[in-house]
Amino acid sequence: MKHFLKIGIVFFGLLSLMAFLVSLYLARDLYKSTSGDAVSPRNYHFSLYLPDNRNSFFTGIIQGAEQAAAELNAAVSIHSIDPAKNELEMASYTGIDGAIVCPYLEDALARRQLDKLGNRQIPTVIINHDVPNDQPWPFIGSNNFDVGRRIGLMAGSISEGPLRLALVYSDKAPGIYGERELVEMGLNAALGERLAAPVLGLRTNLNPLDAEELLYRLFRANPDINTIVFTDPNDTLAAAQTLVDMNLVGQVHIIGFGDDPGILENIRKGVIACSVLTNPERIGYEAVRSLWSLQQTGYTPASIDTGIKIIDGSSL
Amino acid sequence: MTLSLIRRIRNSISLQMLLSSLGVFFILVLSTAYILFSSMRLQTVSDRSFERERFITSIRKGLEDYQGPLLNYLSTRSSNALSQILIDTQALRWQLPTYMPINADQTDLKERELYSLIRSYLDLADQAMEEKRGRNISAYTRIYDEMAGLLEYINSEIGKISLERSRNQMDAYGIFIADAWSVQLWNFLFIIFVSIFATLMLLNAIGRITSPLVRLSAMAVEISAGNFDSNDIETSSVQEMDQLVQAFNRMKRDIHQYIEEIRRQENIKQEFMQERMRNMKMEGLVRHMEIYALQAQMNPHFLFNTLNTGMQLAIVEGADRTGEYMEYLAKLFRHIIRNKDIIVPLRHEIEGLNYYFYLLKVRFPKNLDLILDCDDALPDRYQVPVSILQPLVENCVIHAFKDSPAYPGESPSRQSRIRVSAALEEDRLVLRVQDNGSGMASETRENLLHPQSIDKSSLSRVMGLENVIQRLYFFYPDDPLVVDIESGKNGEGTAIIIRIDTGRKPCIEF
Repeated sequence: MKHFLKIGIVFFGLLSLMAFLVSLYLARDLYKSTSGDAVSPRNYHFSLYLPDNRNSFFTGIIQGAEQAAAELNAAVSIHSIDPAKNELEMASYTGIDGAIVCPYLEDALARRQLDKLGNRQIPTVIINHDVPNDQPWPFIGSNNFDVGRRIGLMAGSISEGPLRLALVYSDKAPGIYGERELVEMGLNAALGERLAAPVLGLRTNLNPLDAEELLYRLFRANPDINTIVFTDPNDTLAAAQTLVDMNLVGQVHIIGFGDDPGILENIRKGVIACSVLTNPERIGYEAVRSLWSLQQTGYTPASIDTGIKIIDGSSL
Repeated sequence: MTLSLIRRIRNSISLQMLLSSLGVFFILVLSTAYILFSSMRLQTVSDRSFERERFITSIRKGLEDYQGPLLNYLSTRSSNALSQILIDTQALRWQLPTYMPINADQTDLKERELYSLIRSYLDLADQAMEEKRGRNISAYTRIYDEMAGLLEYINSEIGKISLERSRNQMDAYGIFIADAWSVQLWNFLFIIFVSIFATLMLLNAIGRITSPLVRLSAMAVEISAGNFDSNDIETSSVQEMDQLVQAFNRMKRDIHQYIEEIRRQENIKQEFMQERMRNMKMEGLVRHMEIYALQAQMNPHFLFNTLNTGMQLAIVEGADRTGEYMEYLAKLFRHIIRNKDIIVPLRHEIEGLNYYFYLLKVRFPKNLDLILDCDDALPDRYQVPVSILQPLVENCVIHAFKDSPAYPGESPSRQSRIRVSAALEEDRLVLRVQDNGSGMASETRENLLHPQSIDKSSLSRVMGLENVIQRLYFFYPDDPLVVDIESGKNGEGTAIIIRIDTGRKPCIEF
C-alpha cells in the first residue's frame, strides 16, 4: 500500500508537471502568435499598385515582390491601381519608401499620379508596360515587341498553311494592351507573308468568362480563323473549354498566356498548342530590388527586360 | 546545516504535518493562481485583437469632430474654432503612434499608411490655416478640396482596415478559440493531476502518522489477549510517534514484568498456602499423635510394670535367662517410647538395634546370623531420623525369610543372615540393611519407593519398611536418593540402603 502510494505520488507529480509545462508552452505560444512582436522590423515600406485581377500573372508578380522584400528586409503593401479606388492618387500621403506601379491604360492620368509621387520624392518603378515621359521612370517587364515576335514564331510552327490569326487583348492584362502596337509589330515581323489576313484584334473585359462569348461571336462572324492568341490566363482557360464544347480542337489552334495548372493540363491534352510566360515573379522581384537599390544607392537601371518563355507539349 | 534541518523535518511529525499542509496549500494556490493568470492572459490576448479596432474607431471619431471647427475657422476665422482646432490637432497627434515598425503583415502596413495619411491630413489642415491667416483664398480652398478627398480616402481606408481586420480576426478567432481550448484543457488536467498529487501527499503524511498508531492498536489487542512475547514495534523515524512507540514498548515490557511478578507472588502465595495447609495438617497429625500417645501412655506403664514384675519373678524363681530376656525387652520398650525426639544421634539407633538383636538371638539362636558393622567414629558425629533401623531388621525377619520351611531358627539346612552396616561415602552417611532372603519383586520395590502425600502417609498408619521409607521421604523431600532397595543376584536377598546427605538438614519444621 505504502509502495503504491509512493509510486502514485511520483506518477501524478510528473503528470502535473507535464500538464503545467504543456499549458505554459501553449499559452506562451498563443500569446506570442497574437502579440505580433516576435519579428524584427523591416527597413523599407514599398507599395505595389496592380489591377484587382488575381490571375497567375499578377499573383506571380506579388510572389516575386514578396520574395525580394523578404530577402532585402523590406515590406510590400499591395494596392489596387483601379482609378475609382483612388489609391495611387493618395500614395504620396501614405509615407511609403517607394512605389511599384503597373499603370492604367490612360497614360495621362497615370503620368499625373506618377509625377505627384515624384514631387514627394518617393522612388517609383513601372512594371508590365511603360508610360512615355520626358523623364522616364525605371521600367521592369518584358519587351512586348519580342513577345509578339515569339508568338508569331510559335504560330508559324504549329500550322503549315496560311494563318488567319486573332489576337485577343484583355482589360485584365493592361500591360500588353497598352503596348499592342509593339506586340502586333513583333507578330508581323515573325510571320510576314504567312498571314493570310491582317491580325484580327479583339478585347475582353474584366469578366473572366468574357472570352467564352467572344469566341462564339468570333466563329459566327469569322469561321475561317484558325489561330487565336490570348494575352490573359483566364481568357485562355475559358477559350479552351469553349473550343472543346464547339468540337473545334485540332481545327483551331490556341496560343495561351500564363502557366495556370488548367492551362498546363490543356497543353498536355493538346487543346492548347502552347502558352506564353512573361515571368511575373521576376518582374515583381526586380521591381522591389530596383526600389531597394534606389533607396540604398540612389541609382537603378532604367530598364530591366525580364524576358519571356514559351511552354508547349514538348517542354512539359 | 541543511542536512540537520532535513533530518529534523523528517523526524518531526508536527513539522511534517505543517510542511505537508503548507505544501499542498501552496501547490493548490499556485495552480489556481496559474489558471487565473492564464485565463487572464487569454482574455488579454482576446482583448488585444479588439484594442486596435477601438483605437482606429476613436481616431475616426476624432477626425469627424475635427471637421466642424476647421470649416468654422476657415469660414469665419473664429478664435474659439482656432483654439478648438489646436486642441483637437494636438489630441489627434498625441493619439497617433510616434513609431510603428514595418512588418510583412498587409493589415499592419495599411494601418501604418493610415497613420501617415492622418498626419498628412493634419499637416494639410495646418497649411490651410496658415493660408487662411495669409488670406490666400485660392490656396486654402485648394487645400481644403485636397483635404476633403484625403478624408474620404482615410475613412474608406479605415473601413477597409476594419473589414480586413475583422476578416482576419474571424479566421484567427477560430484558431485562437481552439488554442485557448487546448490551454484550458491542459489547465483542467493540471488541476486534476495536482489535486490527486496533493491528496496522495496528504495521504502519505497521514499514513506516516497513522501507521504506527495502527501497529500500536494491533499490539494493544495482542497485549489484551495476554501475548507479551511479540516483538517490540519498530520506530517510524517520526520523533513524536517514536516517543509514543518507545513509551508503549516500555509500558508493554513493564506490564509484562509486573504480571510476571504478580504471577510469581501468586505462586509463592499458593506455595505458602499449601505449606500452611501442610502445617495445619501436620499440627493436626501431631495433635492426633499426642492424643494417641496419651492414650498409649497408660499401656507402656502397665507394660513396664508387668515386665518388671515378670523379670523379678524370673529372678526369684532362678530363671536367669528369662529374667535377662525380660530386662532387654523392657529396655527396648523404654528406648522406643521414652525418646520424644524425631532426629536422634546414630548411637541411639545403634543402641536400640543392639537390644533388638539380643531378643532376636534369643528367638533364633541357631539359624539367624545378625551382623552389625559400624565405624566407631560415626555414631556420635551424625544424626538420623528415629526408628529407622529396627523396623527394617524386623521387616527382614518377617518378609525375607517367610518362604523358609519355618522360622529361620527352625531350619538347620540354611543359615539366614541379616547384616546392618553404617559407613561414610563421600558426603553421605550410608546405612545398609542386607539379608540373604527370598528377595523382593520389582513391582513391590516400585510401589515402596514412591513418595506419598503427607495426609495419606500420616493417616494410614503405615508400618514397618513402608513407614520408614515414607518418613525418610518426608524428612528429605528434595533428595530422591535418600532411600533405595536393591535385589541380589538371581532374585536372592534384599538390601535396603539409606543415604543421608550429611550437609543437608532434615525437614522437621512444620
